[in-house]
Amino acid sequence: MLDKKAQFDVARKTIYWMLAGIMITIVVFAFAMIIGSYKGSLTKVPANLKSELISLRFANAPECFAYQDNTSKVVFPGIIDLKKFNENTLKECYSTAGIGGIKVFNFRLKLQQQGTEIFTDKYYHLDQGDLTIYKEVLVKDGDNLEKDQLAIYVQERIGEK
Amino acid sequence: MNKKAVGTLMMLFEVLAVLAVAYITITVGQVYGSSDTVFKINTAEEVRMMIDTLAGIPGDAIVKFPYNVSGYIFILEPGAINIFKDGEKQSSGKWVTRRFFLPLNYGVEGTLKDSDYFCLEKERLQKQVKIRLMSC
Repeated sequence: MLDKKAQFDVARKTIYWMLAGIMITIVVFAFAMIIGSYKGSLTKVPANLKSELISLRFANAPECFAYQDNTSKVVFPGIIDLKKFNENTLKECYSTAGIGGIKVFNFRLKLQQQGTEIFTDKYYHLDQGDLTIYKEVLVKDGDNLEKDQLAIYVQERIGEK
Repeated sequence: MNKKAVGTLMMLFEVLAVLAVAYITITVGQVYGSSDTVFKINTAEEVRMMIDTLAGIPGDAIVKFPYNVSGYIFILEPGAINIFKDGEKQSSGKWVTRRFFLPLNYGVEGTLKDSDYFCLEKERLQKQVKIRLMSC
């Protein structure tokens, strides 16, 4: 049998280890969170770089809005074909609906002079001003070629700033 | 149970507890902070941005990834790039996957294993555009 002092020692150590267990668990979780956050900072790519690279296609690729000569098939980057500037073409050019679309970039495209505006499929007017991209373009409307500005409003994932 | 036996048991328990905490902390550190994971994530992001850039130019192009990637396996599939090491299963959570969105007439393909460097090539065919990942 243990004497009273020994019983007190065992009880004291048990309480100590219970408290220590809780503290150690908190420290391990905090450690994991600090490392996770550090890793996040090592792998972070600025949102404006990603959105800029995606939006290159809007004015440059014939699959999007760049004008392509029907006969020679030559593509004219920076010239927007007004016939193509609609939401059907935009869906063929950049569609996020397949994975839900709210956790990725969505865009609102506006030709400032023309006033024409189109949206990608999961765009909910949550664009961020600091991510807006402006491109000087020419707009081909039939035989006319007019100077315009293409404003690309970017909506990053919903729920994040 | 006598006092000496209890004291020895408690000491043994304390040593085991300290060893367990040290092991858990090191394991957590390795899992969350391995440079391998960081390399895979950065490479996958780079590949995704290279593909977005290729989609944003009107003509054909080929671009070389400037870092040595020996020891890694790449699978480029429609809408995603996967990077992992030999022996890592998809269910282990060690695969790094990044998604991208290309125009509908684009096709992507290519796998890479046991190669130091890779290239991404964009080629415009009759009605389709192909982006290939290949050794170079």
